[in-house]
Amino acid sequence: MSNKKIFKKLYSEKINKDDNYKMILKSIERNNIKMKKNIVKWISVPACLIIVICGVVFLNKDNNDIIYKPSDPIISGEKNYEIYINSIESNKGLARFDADIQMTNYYMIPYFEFLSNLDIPDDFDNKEDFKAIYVKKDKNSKEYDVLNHYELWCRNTANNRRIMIAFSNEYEPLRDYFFGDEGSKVSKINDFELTIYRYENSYMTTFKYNDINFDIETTDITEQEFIDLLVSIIK
Amino acid sequence: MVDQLNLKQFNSIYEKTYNQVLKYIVCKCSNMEDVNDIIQETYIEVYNAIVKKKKIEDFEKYIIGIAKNKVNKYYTLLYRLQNISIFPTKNDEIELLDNIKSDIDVEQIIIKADDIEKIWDYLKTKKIIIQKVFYLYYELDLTIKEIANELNIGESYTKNCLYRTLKELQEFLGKDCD
Repeated sequence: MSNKKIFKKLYSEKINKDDNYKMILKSIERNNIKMKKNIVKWISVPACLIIVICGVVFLNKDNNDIIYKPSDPIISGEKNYEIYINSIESNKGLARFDADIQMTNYYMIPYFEFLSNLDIPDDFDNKEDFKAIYVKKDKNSKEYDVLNHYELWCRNTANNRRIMIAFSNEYEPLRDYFFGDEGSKVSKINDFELTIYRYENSYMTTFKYNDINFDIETTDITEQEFIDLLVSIIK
Repeated sequence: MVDQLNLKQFNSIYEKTYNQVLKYIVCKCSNMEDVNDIIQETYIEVYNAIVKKKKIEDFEKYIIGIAKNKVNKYYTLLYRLQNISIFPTKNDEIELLDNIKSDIDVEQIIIKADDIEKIWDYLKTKKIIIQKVFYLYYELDLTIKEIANELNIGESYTKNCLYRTLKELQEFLGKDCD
């Protein structure tokens, strides 16, 4: 190894650009939390907390209990999408998952480019409610020390129209239900495939795009608002 | 998404200015082990300026200004008085210039690198000016002339800092390995 390589290796360990960046972010985060101490509250969720996202939980031990009714295609040549909304007509096996998690409000999260370009309905007055979801390393662990995913909650506080975007570049966001996709139709946005579901006044979908796992759920937003949101993420 | 926009702007500034700011702090610090802290403090203030929507025309100049303040605050007057000047004295130069060949080539001195931590520890025992010369030469890829300008020292002195210390390291690591 040349002297140059030896010293480069040495100095990159001692004064590292990425490590410094991480430390700066941590410190900014800490300062923000400190400043908003009166607002920030750790919500300790005891074992067996039930996450009810969107107020409706669908599940079944047997996927055949779910009957989907795909919509006619919604096509836009200009925005390059072909959407099928799979309406859930029947879900006999309704059940809830219990999830052992800890949730904290978050004011600073690492940079995710998609967050800068989100198409959120104009009437939403709260567009920056970030949460971080932590889980235990294993069942015996006492600490909730593994960051599973972030959640961005946006809402119109006057009428409770809302959007929840869970995302992580490491894990799939936790959810308290799942869907089988049998009988559903796949949509395409800019040639990217995903499956979209609707149940009563909620739209939902999960997908992995640009190495980020997404899980999106909405309440009381229109079909077009949901599509616009997806198009703003899937470029 | 105010936070994200701020962060995006911050990231762009960080990428564009990091090396320049790092070079400034290395040149001005009194201890290489303080560099990380000063860089972090500098950029935290930069982020706060972004959040406050300060109108800044030349971010590089602005950040160097912050770095300058941070370095001054970091090393209080008392600290500076208690410590030897970071700049070499005339005696240092004379001492180093003794017994030096005019055609030395630092690239010809190859050191062993079984344990780079030993190199770090060894360099820490040397004068801060030597530590800076090494960092600027090997990590920031400055030429001897550029280093001399940045540190306000002679080119021969710069070259000889490298030469002598590499020789010493060669001997130190060699002996240590035996």
